[in-house]
Amino acid sequence: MTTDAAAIGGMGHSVKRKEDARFLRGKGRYIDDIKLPGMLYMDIVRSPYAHANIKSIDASKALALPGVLAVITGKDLDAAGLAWMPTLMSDKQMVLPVDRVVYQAQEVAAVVATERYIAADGVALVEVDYEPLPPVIDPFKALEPDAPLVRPDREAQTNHIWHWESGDKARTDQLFNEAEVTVKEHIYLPRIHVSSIETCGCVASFDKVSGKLTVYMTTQAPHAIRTVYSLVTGIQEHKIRIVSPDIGGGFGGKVPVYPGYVIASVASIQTGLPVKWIEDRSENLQADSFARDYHITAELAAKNDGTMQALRVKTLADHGAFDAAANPSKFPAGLFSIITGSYRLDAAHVEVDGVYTNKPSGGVAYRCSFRVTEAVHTIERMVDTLAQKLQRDPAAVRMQNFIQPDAFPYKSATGWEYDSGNYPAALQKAMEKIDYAGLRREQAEKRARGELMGIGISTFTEIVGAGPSHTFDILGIKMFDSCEIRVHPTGSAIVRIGVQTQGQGHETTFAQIVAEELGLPVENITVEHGDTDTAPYGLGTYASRSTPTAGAATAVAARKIRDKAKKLAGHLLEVSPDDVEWVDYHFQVKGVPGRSVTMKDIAFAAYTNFPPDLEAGLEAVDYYDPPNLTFPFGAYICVVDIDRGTGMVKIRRFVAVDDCGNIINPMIVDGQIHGGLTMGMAPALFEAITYDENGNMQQSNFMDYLLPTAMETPVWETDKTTTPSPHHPFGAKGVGESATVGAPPAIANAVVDALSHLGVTHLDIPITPWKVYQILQEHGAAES
Amino acid sequence: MRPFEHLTVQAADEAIQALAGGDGGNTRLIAGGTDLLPLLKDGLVNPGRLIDIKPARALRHLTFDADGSLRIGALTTLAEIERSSQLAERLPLLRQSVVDAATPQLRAMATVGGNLLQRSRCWYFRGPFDCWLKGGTVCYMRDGENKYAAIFDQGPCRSAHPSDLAPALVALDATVSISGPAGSRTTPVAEFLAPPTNDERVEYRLRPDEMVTEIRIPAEAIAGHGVYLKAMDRRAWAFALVGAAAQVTILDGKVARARLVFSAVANVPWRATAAEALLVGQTLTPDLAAQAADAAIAGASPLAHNGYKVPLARELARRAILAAANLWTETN
Repeated sequence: MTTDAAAIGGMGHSVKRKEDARFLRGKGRYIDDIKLPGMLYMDIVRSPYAHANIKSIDASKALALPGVLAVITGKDLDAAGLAWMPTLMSDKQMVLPVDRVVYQAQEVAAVVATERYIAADGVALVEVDYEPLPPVIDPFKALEPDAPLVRPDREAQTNHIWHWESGDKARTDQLFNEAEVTVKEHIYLPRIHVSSIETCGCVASFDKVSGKLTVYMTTQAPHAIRTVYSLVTGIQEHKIRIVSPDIGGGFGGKVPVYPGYVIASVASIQTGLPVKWIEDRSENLQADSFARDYHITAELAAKNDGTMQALRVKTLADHGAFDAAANPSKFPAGLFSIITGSYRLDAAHVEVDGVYTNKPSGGVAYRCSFRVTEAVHTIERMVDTLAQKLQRDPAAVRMQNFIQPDAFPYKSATGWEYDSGNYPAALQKAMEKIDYAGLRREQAEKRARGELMGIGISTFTEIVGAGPSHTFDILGIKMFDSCEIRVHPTGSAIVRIGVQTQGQGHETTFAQIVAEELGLPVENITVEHGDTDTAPYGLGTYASRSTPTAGAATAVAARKIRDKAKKLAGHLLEVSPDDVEWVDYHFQVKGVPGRSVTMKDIAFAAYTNFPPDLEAGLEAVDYYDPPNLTFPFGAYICVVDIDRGTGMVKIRRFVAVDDCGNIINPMIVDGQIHGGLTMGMAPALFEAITYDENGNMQQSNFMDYLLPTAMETPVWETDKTTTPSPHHPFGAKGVGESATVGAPPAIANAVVDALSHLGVTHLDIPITPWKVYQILQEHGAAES
Repeated sequence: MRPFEHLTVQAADEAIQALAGGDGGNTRLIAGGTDLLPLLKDGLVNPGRLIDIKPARALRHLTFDADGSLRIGALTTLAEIERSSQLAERLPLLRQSVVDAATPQLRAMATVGGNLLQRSRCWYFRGPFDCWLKGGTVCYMRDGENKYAAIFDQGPCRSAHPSDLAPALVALDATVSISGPAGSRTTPVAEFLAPPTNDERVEYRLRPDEMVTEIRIPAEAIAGHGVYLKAMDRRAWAFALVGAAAQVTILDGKVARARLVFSAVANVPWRATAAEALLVGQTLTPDLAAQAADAAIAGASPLAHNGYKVPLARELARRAILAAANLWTETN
C-alpha cells in the first residue's frame, strides 16, 4: 500500500491556504464585522498636546446630545482603580489620565453612544481645559538635569527608565585598545509604525446575568491578555473570555494592551450592553505603539587583515511616555544582544538605556523579533564600514569572518548558543544567483562614466522562537506554547493551538504538521485558535515564534497520538505493537507490506473497537518548552541605481537567500519573505515617524506616512538553503521576520556603496531622494 | 455628523438653477467628490446642500473639432483621459499629466472640472490650524514644516498647487468655459487659476453661482509635442514634489512655440516664461535646455525645508524640454 503524499499534504507541500476561501469571498470575520444585539459605540477624546495638565473636563454638552449615554473620564476609572494598568514590560500606563497627558493623541475621555457617528459628535462636544507644559521630545535632552519630567508618578524622578548591558566590557575595551583598526558610526533607526490594514479595536460584551466578560479583540496574544485582565480587574479568569477572530495584520502592533480595550470593557460592564470601539486610521497611526527610535553608536575593532575582533555598542532607546514594549522580562532591550550577528568575535559589549519622552510608547515591535532588526542593521552596516576602511570587498570580509558551519552549536560573544547555520553557503548561493563578480565589473565601468550604481549585502542571523522557559517570560508567564489535537472517529481532526494567526497561514501550516505526523489528509484537519475558552494556553504569535514553539507542540502532540495509534494498530492487525511499524503514512506489520491499517481505520477503532486495556478516544495535548531558540539566517544582495539628477534610488535587483530550516509550506514561506522584504524596503527608503519640537506627530495619515506601493517594489528573487534546527522536532526555524530584519541593511549598504567613492560611509534610513541629492550636490556629483 | 441636503440634476442648466436657488456658498456642486469629500470630513466646507452633477452626460466627452482643437467636458474623468488612445497619440502631455495622479480608483472618479477646483494640500490648511488661507492671519507654512511649500512667493500663502493636470492645461493654452445665471464666459486656465488674495482666499476664480462646463485646447498648441514629468516621494499615490509640463513645437529645426509650466512650486501652476523665451527661435540642444532650466528657477525663494524643490524643478525642466523634443527619455 502506498499513500499519495500530495493528497496528505504534509511537510514541504505548497498546500493552498485553507483560510483564503473565506477571505477571498469576503467572508472573513474581523472585529468590525461583529455586530451584537443592542451594541453601543465608543469614540475617544484625544489630547492635542504632547504634555499638558488637565485642569477640567466638561462633558455636559456631550451628555446633552441625544444618543450619548456616557462619557468616561480618568476620574471615573480612578474610582474603580483602573486609571492605570500594567504594561507587558513591568511599567504601568494610563488608561485615561486623571490630571495630565504625556503625549499627543493620548486618550483623554471616551464617549459611549447608540451610534458610531453620535459618539464622534459627542467627542467634539467634550470640553477639556488644558494647561500646556513644555514637552521633551529628544531622548538626549530628556536625560539632561533640567529636562521636563515625563513620569512624575514614578519613584525615580528621572526620564531614565533602565540600563541594560550584555557581554564582556573589560575584554572588549582591551581589544579596542590593542586594535590595529577600528571603525565607528552613529546609526539612528527612526520611529516607524506597523500600519496593519486593520486598525485596532474591540467589542466588549459583559453579561450581567453570568457575570462573564467577553472581549472580541485585535490581539496577537489572547491568553496573556486574559490573565492580565483578570489580575488588573479582579474578575475571575474563568469569567473572562478573549476572542481574537480574523486579524488583519499584527506585526507586533497588536501585542500591547491599548487603553481603548479597557475603557470599552468598563463601558460594557457599566451599561450592561456590548460596546464596540474601532480606531480610525489617524488614531492608529498617532496613538498606537511604535517601533525603533534607537540611537546607536557602534564601534568595530579588527586586525589589518580584516579579522573582526570586538564590537562595542551604546544605545539610547526612546520608549516614549510608557515602557510598553512586550519584551521578555529579563530583556528590556529585547534580543538586541544578537548584534554580533553571523560573525566570529572575541568579545562584545552592548549597552542600552531606555528613556522616557513625550511620545506614545516606543520600542515595541515591527516584525522585528524583539529588537533584532536594530541589531542586524547595526552589525551589517559596521561590517561594510570596516570593509570600506580596509578597501576590501564587503563579501570577502564577510566570508573571512563568518562563524564556520562546523562551529555549531556556537556560543556568541554575548552568550547566545546558535543552534545551526551555514553562512558561507547562503552567501555563495546569493552571489552566484546575482552574478556578483559581473555586477562589480559593471559598477567599475559605470563609476568611470560618472554613473551611480551600488551593491549591498546583508548576511543576517535571526534569533526566534522564545523561548526556553528558564530564560523567557512575559510578566512572569513562561514562554512555552501549546497544542491540543482530537482525532474524530471517521478520521478527521481538530487542532487547537496557543498561538494566534494574523495572516501567517496557521490554519494551513499547523494542519500540515498534523497531516505529516498522522497521515490524515490536510483537508480533513481543522485548526482553531484565538478563543481563550477553547484554545490551550499560549503566549501568542509574534517574534516569529509560532512554528518554533506551537509548531513543535503540534508535532509532539501528534506523535503522542501516533504512539497510542500504534497500540491500536497492533490490536487491529492482531500482532504486538512492537511488531508494527509506521511506513509511508500508515502502520504495517514489520516486513509485511500487505498487512497494514491507516490512521483512518485506527481512529474508528479508537471509538468502536479498542482493546480492554486502552482507554477510548484519540487525542493529545502538548505544552512545549523549547530547549533553545532557533537561529534562522540569510544572505541578501541588493543592486541600486541612483538618478544623479534627482537623487532617486531605484532597486534594480534584490536576491534573498533564506534559511529557516525545514519548511512546512514553501509557498507560504515565500509569501512571508516577499511581504517581509517589502516591509523591510519601506523603512529603508520611505517610512519614518517624526515629531516637531512641540511633540506634534507629522505623519498622521497615509499621504504623509509613505507606505510602499507595488510601483516601488522590485521583483524579489528568492532562494533558499536548508540547515535544519537540531533541537526542533521537525527541524524548523521561524521565518516571519527574517526578511524585514535582513532587507534594510542590504538596501542601505547598496546606497552607501554607490556613494562610497565620494567618501560616504553611512546614511541613516529612510534614504530619501533629498538626502541623496544633497550628498551629490556637496560632492559635485549631481547631474546638470 | 452635519446634515445636508443632497440633490441630483441631469444637466448643466438644472445645476445653474439649483445654484441660483442656494444662498451664496451654502450650496456646492459635487461630481467625483474626490476632493470635496475630504474637505467635508475635515470640516473645511460645511454646505447645507450638495448638488450631484454626475448624471449630466453632456458634460462628459472628449471631442476633437474639425479645426483641430480639443474640447473636454468638465465631467470627463481623469481615467477617461488616461485611457484615450486618441490623446495618447495626439496629445501625450495631457495623458501623461494624469497617469501619475492619485490612484486608479481616484482617477476613475475624479473629473477634469473638479481637478481645477481642488484645494491646497498644505497640512496647515487641511489640519486644525487657523491659517491665512482659511481666513486666519498667519501662513504657518512660512516658518513651519514647509517641505512641500511653494518655492516661488506669490503672496501671503506659501502652499503649493497640487494639480498635475492644470500645468499641462496651462502649457496647452487651454481655456475654461464657465456657465452662470448671466450666461457663459470663457477664460484662460492660466487666469482662472490665480493666487489667493486677501479678498478671495482660494486658488481659482469662480463665483458661487457658476460652474465649469468645458475645457478647450487650441489646435496650435496640440500641433506641438510635450511631456509631463513628476517627481514624488514614492513612485505612485503621491502629490508632486515638483511636476514639469513642457510642450514644444519645432518648425524647420527651430523652436517655434515653447511652454514650460510647473506643478507644486507656487500657489497655482507656474509658467516659466523666461525659459520659454530663451527657447523660441533657437535650435534645441542640451546646452540650451540647461540654460532654459536655469532661467526657469530664477527668482525662486525656498524656505527652510523645501530647498530640494529648486534643483528638482531645474532638472525636471531640463529633462522635460529635451523630452518634448524627443532628446531625452526616462531610460537615459
